[in-house]
Amino acid sequence: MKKMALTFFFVPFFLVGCSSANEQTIRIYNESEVGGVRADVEGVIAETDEVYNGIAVFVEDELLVSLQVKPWLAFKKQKIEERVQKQFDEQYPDLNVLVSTDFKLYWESEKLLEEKDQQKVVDEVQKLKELAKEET
Amino acid sequence: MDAEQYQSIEQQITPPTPYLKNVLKAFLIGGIICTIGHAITYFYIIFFDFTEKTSGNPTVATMVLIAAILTGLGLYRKLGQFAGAGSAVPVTGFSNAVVSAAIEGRTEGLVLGVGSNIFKLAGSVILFGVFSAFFVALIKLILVSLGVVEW
Repeated sequence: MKKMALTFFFVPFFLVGCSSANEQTIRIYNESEVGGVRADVEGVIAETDEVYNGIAVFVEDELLVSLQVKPWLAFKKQKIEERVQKQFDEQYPDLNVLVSTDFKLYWESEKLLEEKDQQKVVDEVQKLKELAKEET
Repeated sequence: MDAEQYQSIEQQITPPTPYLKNVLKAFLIGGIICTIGHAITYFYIIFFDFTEKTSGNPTVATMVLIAAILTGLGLYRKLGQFAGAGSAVPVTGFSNAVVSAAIEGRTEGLVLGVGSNIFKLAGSVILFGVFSAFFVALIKLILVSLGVVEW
């Protein structure tokens, strides 16, 4: 009986993860002079239903879009990535775009949102793009 | 007493195997081991320059190292007794199989003892792992060259 009570006591802790708000959050770091792009980027991410979090870092001619795909769709990550990448490539042929669903890129771009020094952001974005290509 | 009698008595005396309990234990402990593995993955992603794609290798290495140390200290055996398949199926079980076989052969010397015993249990895992990987790759190669799928 005591064991049973203990088990039921822990049930809410396990279920607490299911209750978080299911709204999409999109954040954009925009230091680029290209106007009107901000809304477009936000629109493209918002259209992608499989994504629950998106960060776009936009400096000079670099655009880094890091997305977090809904947990149940994790196996489709690569396809979603390719689709969004294609969408961005068509929309901005003169920009260096990288779309990634990797957690590392999301984590690092979240930090970049607070960064004031633009040169630092450019360096970091280039470093992250290199990192995304890494296979080993 | 003939064989049939013996068998019926034996079945009466043997306590029933608690399948559900065993499955639950294996599920819980296996899940906890995998959660620890995932935490280590995030550790490598957050504090080092590893991406989700590349963090798999150091994570496996760390898990194997932890399980090897636990086996050496005799703690993994206790976990195995409690969790059964839950502790044997993850990569830590593989590490346990290698290290415990090595410890067992220690008394017979380094070469003939440790060297020849180390893969006694894990050898089949490596053999069939390599074999099935080769086989799957072969099937994929054929499918790609036929144009059914892409790499």
